[in-house]
This record gives sequence, structure tokens and C-alpha cells, in this order.
Amino acid sequence: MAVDPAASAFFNRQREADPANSVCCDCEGRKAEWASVSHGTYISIEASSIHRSLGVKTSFVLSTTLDSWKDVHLRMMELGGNRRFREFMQKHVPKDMPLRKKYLTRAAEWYRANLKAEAEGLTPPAPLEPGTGHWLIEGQSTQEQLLDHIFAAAPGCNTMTAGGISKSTLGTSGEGPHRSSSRRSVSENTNASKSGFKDKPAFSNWPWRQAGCVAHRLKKLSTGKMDGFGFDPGETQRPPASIR
Amino acid sequence: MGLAFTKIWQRMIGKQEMRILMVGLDAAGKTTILYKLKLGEVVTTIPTIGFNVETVEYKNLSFTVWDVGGQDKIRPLWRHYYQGTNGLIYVVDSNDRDRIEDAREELNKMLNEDEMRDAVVLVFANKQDLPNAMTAAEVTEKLGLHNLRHRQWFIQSACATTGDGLYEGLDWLSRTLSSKR
Repeated sequence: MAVDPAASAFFNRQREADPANSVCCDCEGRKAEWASVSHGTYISIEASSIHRSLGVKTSFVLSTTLDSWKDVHLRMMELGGNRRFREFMQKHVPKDMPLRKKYLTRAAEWYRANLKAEAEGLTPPAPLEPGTGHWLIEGQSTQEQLLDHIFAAAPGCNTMTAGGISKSTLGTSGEGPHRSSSRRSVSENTNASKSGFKDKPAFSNWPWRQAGCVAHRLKKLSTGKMDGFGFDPGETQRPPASIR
Repeated sequence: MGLAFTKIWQRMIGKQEMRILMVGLDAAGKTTILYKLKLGEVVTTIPTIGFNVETVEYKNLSFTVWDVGGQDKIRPLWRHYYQGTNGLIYVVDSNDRDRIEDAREELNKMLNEDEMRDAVVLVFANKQDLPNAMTAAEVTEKLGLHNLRHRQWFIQSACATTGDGLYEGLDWLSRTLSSKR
């Protein structure tokens, strides 16, 4: 499948119209081949990592080259753009706020709702109350805190600021899977060497050493509160009525 | 010779190798699941352009899990991974109501392929931690799983970042694949 020529031409026009759309909105200097459709911004693959961790309702991420685009999404990009988002955020949110938090502020939420309304021709949201833009939307769950923690520890991501400049020149992201302390950043694997059969077992990993370890670890991960059910054509038994 | 020894050894300790293909739309959480299973840790992931592969030992099975990128234009590449697949893990973002129909189409397309005839299907209804996530029952209905014929399937609610549900899913996979042999 080739890149959709209409979308491709659209993105070229956007970049020509404003050079700010060629560089990542979150970490200046990086090439922006991805987009946060929800904010109408162009971002780098590294920043897309943070956006994807926020969930589609906060930030819906698409690639400008590897995805097909709906008209309404292109319209959001046309109405939005990096400059508009950045200027808006600079007015409402402190520059040094961590990136994940910035997207969870009232200001970002308002911007998303407004952009969507503009693109779909709906009534815009009530204006943002002055001085409240930097407030976080609802209480942060422990899950959010966990992700904040993980992204803060990941190389290359903690140095980004929304609408600001990447403070570091760390270029570690995008160079393949690697570990940083106990964490690991899994990066794109366009180069065959990064994937494939890289996991041929080392001696310490041989089955008799590992047997049962993963099973044990997985069991510990489970809280047992998640439901599951299925179907086996070999059995006459049907799933219980409650879940049909 | 080495290979023969490995096979005998595996028979002795009862380790069977299973080839698992893990796919789903972009940003469903495939890579996060893979590394949570492999390392027991949450990793920061960027979109997978290509694939990741890891072996995960579980009970008497050794799963080779292929995690293939989900961007629209790279989905046609999934078919190159079908051959010899024992089990399919289909990961769904339970929050993404707008694209659940796309998820259904991609799943059906795949299950109609001859090479996938014998593969059992485990669906992870992932991202249950986010508010207003679709339940496993809702995802089942929207994916049309009840309409599948001659197919062993199982759906499991999951949250890859905490690991909830992953073990239950893998447990079903190992029970089902062991009994098929």
C-alpha cells in the first residue's frame, strides 16, 4: 500500500505553509512524521510514545506516512498546527511542567474540545476560566502516576517540554531496544538487526533454569479481577447467558 | 545433532514450542504486553515499525511471540507471519470505540485466511484501566466473536501496564494448545 497521495500532498502543504509543522511540537529539533490528531499537532516518533500512553481519548496518534487519514482528521490538522497549539499552551501552562501532565491539564482538554468542535462544525466549549488552565483534569489515578514515573525514567522522554525546547541532546531513543537501569525503551525496528532472532537463549536463560519462573511471575501480576470467557467448538457447553 | 538433542531434551522436560502471532490495530498495546510478559516490567514503547519477537516460557510451553506493527499501511505485512501460527493473540484497545469496527474487519480478514485455519484465538480487551473502557462482553459483541465457526477463542480483559489479565490469557492459551497436541 502506498502512501495516500492526497494526504501526502496535504502534509507537504502544511509544512511549507509553516516550518513549525516540520519539527516536533514537543521536542524541537526532531523530525515530525507523526501527529496528535486530537491536538492538531505534528510530533516525533519519540513524543508519540508519550501521547499513546495517554489513551486515545486524550491523544489520538496517527502517522503521516503509515496511516490512512479521514477528512475530519485532516481538517483538525489544518485548523490546528504546531504554532497555534504552542502559543495557546504558553499562555496557560508553565513551561517546565512535565509533558504527560501538560496534556492532562484543563487547558489541553479545552483546546482538544475546541479544535474538535471547529472541525466538526459544532458549538465550541465554554471559554476556559482565566487562571485555571494549568489545573489537572480530575484526580490522577495510580495508573497515571505509574506511567508518569516510567516516562520520567525513560531516556529522551523526560527532557521534553510541551511547547518548549528539548533541554538535552540525548539521542538515545530510536536506536533500538536498550535498557536504562531496570527499564527498557523499545524502539522502532526498521533495521533487521534489532529484531529477528535476537533472543537466542543465553546459557543463563536455558529452559531448566527458567521453567516456572515466568508462570510464577505472571501469577503474581494478576489480581484475578479481570473477567474472561470463550468458546470451544469441540464442547457443547455455551458461555453463560450473562455474557452472551 | 545439536538440534536432535534439543528436541529430545524438550520432550523429556515436556517443553513444546508454540508460535504465537500478536497483532491488532496501532496503539492497542501489543509491544507493552510482549515486554510485560517477557520482563514483568512496563517499558516505554514507540510505534513498532516492523516487529519484535521474544520467547516466553510458560508452564510446559515455550511461546515464540511475534509482535507486529499495527499501522494501517503495514497491516498487509501481517500475512507474512501467518505460516505455522498455533495461536493468535489479538489485542484491542477497549477505549477506542471509534475504531472497534476497524478492529473487527482486520480480525475477520485474518481468520478467513487458509493459513490461519487451525490457529486458536486469544483476544485481550486491553486498557481496562482507562475510564469508560468497553467490557469484555462488549468487545466480544462488537468483534462478532460469537459468530466465529469452528474456532476456539477466548477473550480476556486486561491491563498490560499492571499485568492484570495477562496470566489468565496465557493460561488459557497453554491449556488449549497443550490439549490440541
